[in-house]
Amino acid sequence: MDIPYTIQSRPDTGVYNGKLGMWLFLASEIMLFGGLFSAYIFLRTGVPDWPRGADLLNVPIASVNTVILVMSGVTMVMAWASLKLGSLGQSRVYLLLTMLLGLAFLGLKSYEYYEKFSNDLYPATSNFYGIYFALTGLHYLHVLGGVVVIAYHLVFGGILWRKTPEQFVNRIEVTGLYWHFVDLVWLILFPSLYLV
Amino acid sequence: MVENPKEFKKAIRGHVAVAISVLLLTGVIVTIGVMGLEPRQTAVLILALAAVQVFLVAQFLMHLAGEEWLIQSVVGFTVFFVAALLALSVYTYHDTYEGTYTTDRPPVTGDVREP
Repeated sequence: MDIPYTIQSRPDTGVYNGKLGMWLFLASEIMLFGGLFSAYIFLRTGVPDWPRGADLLNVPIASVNTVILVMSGVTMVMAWASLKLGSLGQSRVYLLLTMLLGLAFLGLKSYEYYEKFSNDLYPATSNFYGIYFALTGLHYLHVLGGVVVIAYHLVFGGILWRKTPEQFVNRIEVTGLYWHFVDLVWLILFPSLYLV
Repeated sequence: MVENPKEFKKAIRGHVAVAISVLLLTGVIVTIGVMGLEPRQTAVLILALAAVQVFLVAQFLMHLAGEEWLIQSVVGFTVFFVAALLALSVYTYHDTYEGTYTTDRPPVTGDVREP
């Protein structure tokens, strides 16, 4: 049995089901990160002195990571646009670039964690490190999830493209929505933890 | 798949321009962060600029601006409740063991009834 409205928009919602599902999922993600940010505010306002992130964390690495994630957002858009223009080959190149940029982000973040662990700085060290590892760790897992999905599209996307190209374009679009959301969360995390 | 490739390519160039703006804002944010301004001033400036970045990504890269009313409502409601949650969390800053500060006056403590 075919799943309805994977290509055409549903008359009552005005969008195809995959897109609505992704936005509902992203809404739940906003609540998840919002809850953790609320915990961060509680911890921070509950003490007279809170350390300045720039004194304890690696700002240059985090800045480079921000540039990497924003650039990966552009390559993701280009992957979707290439499909819309009918070029699977070009789209694959952009998807590969997006995946590599995602892996570069994860590599730099892992190095940052390694730096902390080798200096005996763990989540249990202080409230600051506790919330830092919780927020960035959750974000790390989200980037990892995105990389896995992009890798799946790279390997198996061609099959769907040959069968129903419109459905594959839609899949790349919702993957892009998720990827931009991950980017967006980092744009809030980076200044709140590292610079403020 | 695209009816007007020329127009579509123009729209994509717009996306790239938005991403470049976000990158430039990141540069400004980092500069402010390491400048060593007064902490409160730094926080306000940086978070305001981060909010602009988030707006740009959501509106243009995620196409929220031209999205269906249903999706805009879902996101709108979620953002409203998260904003309320964060505002209440910030408000607890005024809470102390003695009571809640709502003005510069010291909190009312103990039995407030007339003797």
